[in-house]
Amino acid sequence: MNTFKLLKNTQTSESHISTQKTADTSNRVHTHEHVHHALDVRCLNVTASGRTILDDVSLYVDAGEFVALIGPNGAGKTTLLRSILGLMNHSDAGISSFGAKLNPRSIGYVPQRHEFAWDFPITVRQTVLSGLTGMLKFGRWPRLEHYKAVEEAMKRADITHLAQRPIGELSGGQRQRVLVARALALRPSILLLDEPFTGLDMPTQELLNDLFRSLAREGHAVVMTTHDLISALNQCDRLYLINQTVQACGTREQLQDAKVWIDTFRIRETNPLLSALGLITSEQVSSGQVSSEQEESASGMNVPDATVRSISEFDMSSKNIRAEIYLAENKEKTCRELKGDEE
Amino acid sequence: MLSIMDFINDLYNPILSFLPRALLVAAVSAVVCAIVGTHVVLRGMAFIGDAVAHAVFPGLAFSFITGGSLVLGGAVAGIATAILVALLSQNRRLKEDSVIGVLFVGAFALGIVIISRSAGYAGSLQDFLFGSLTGVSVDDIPLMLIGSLVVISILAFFNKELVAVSIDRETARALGIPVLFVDIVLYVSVALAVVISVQTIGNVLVLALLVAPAATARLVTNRMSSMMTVASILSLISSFVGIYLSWALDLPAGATIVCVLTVVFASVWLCAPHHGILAKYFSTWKMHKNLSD
Repeated sequence: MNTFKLLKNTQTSESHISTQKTADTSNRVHTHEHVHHALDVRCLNVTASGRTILDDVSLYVDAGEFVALIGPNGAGKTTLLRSILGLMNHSDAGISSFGAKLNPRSIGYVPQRHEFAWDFPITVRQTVLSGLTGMLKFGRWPRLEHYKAVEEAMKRADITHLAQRPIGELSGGQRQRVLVARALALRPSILLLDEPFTGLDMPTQELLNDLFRSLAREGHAVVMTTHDLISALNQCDRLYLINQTVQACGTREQLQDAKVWIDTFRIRETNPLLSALGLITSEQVSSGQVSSEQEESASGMNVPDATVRSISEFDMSSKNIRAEIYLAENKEKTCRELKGDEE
Repeated sequence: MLSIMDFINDLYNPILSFLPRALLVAAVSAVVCAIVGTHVVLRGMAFIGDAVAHAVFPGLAFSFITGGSLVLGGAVAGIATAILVALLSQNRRLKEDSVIGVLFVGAFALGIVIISRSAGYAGSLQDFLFGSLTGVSVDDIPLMLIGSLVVISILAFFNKELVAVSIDRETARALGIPVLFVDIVLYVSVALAVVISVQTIGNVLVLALLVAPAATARLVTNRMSSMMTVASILSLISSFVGIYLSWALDLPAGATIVCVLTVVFASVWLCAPHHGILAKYFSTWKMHKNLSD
C-alpha cells in the first residue's frame, strides 16, 4: 500500500502528469534523474495533534520555472511551504536541491504581507538588509559585499528609488516588492512566495506577476501559493492542485479536466469557477469559435447545453474573465512562437 | 515653592548627598529604560514589561529582609521570570497574556508575603512600590552603572537580530535566527532595566518609564536610532523635572516623574507635527475648506 502511495504521488519531469488517477505508475520513483531539480520534495507527511495535514506530498520545481500551489483554505499550502523551510515537524523521504540535501536557510522566503510589522520605524534599505541577518553571525556587521547584495536585490525588485522611505509609508504593491527584495538579498536559487497577491488590485498584481515570471526566467525556481486561480493558470508554467495531498499537477493544458478541480476544491459541477477557468467551454476555445464567443455567450445561443446551464448562473464579469483568459492564452501562444523563433 | 536655583544649591549640599545620588540613578535609569523601552514599544510587549517589572519584587523583598544587595536580588528574580515567560509563551495552547497574568501577580504576591516577615514592613513596602529619593544606597551605585552599561551593550550587540525578530518572527525563524534566545535576551534586558530604576521610581510605576518616553518618541520619529535618542532625551528631561518638583513640593519622586512623562506624552500626542491629533484635525479642516472654496 505504502509503495503504491509513493508511486502514485511522485512525478517525473519528462511526462507532466495531469492527474493522480491517470498517473502512469511505472518508473515514477525519484531517482538520479531528479538531480537537476532546484527543489525536489519526496513523500512529505505532516501531522499535527493526530490530524493529517499533508499526506505523501511530492513535488519538484526546476530552475527557471514559475509554479503555483493552489487549493482551498486549509488544504495545507502554507504548511507545505513551512515544512520546506524547516519550520514544521514533518517526515519525508528527502527534500533536495540539485541532488544535495536542501539547506532551508538558502531559500528566499516571502511571507504573507500581514506577517510583517509595517509600523516598525525602519527604512526600505534596512528591511532588505535584515534578510541577511541569519547569514551574519551574532555581533557581526554587514560588509561591502552584503550592501552590494542589498542594492542588487532592490534594483531587481525595482524599489531602489524607495530605499530611504520608511516602510510604513509604502503601498501594498511596494510592500510586496520590499519582501521580495529582502528574500532576493540572500541570492537564493529557490523563492517561496506565500499568497503574494492577497489584497492587491489588478494592475499591481500584473506588475508583480511580471516580476515573478522574469525572476523565474533568470533561473530562480519560483513557487507561490495563491487563491487567484485565473492568474495562476495564465502566468505559471505549472500548477499543483493541493488538498492534503497532490490532487493533480501539470501545465494549463494538462489541467483541463474539470473533475480534478471539483475534487480539489470540493465544489459543485455547476460552480461558476469552472467556467471562469474555461474548463467547461474549452471545446469552443480550441475549435476557433472564440472570435464570436462573447456574443454567443451573451445571447446564450449555439452553446452546448452543459455550458448554457453554467453560463446562466454566471454574471457578466466572469464572461469578461473568460475573454481575458482567451486573450492571455493568445498572448502565451505568441510568446511561445517568439521563443520558437529565438531558438 | 523652591526655585530651580535653590534646587541646584541643594544638590551641592553635603548633608543632602542622597539628592544628587537619586538624580544620577534617575538619569541613568531614564536612558536605559528609554532604550529598552523602544524595543518594548515596537514589539507591542508592554504587558510583558509590566510582568517582568512586577516579578522583580520577590527578589527585592528577599534581599531586603536578608540584608543582601537589592540590585542582585532583583536581577536574579527578574531574569528567572523573564526566561520563564519566554519559555511558557512558546506554548500556543495558552495565550501569552494569560501565562503572564498568572505569573506576574503570583510573583508579586510572593514578594508581599516575603516582605511581610520583616518588622514594620509597611514603610519599606511603600518605598519599593512607589520609589523614594532617599532609597538609593551608596553601595548600589557602581553595580547600577555597570548594569546599565551591560544592558546597553547587550542591546547593541544583538540589535540586528532583535530587529529581524520584531519585524517578522516567522521569517526570522526561517532565516535560522534563534528566536527564543533573542526573546530571552530582550526580556532579561527589561528585567535589568527595571532593577536599575526600581529604587527611585518604584516597582509599580517603572512601566511608565519603559513605555511612555518610547511611545512619545515614536510619534515624532521614523527611525529606530532617532526614536531611541529622542526617547532618552525626553526621559532625562522628565526625570530631572520630576525630581525637582518632587523635592520642591514634597511629592513622591516616582509618581511625580511619571506624571511629567504622561503630560509630555499627552502634549506630543496632541501637537506632534504629522501624527498628532491637532495636526490631523487641522489638515482635514484645511481640506474641507479648500473643497468648499
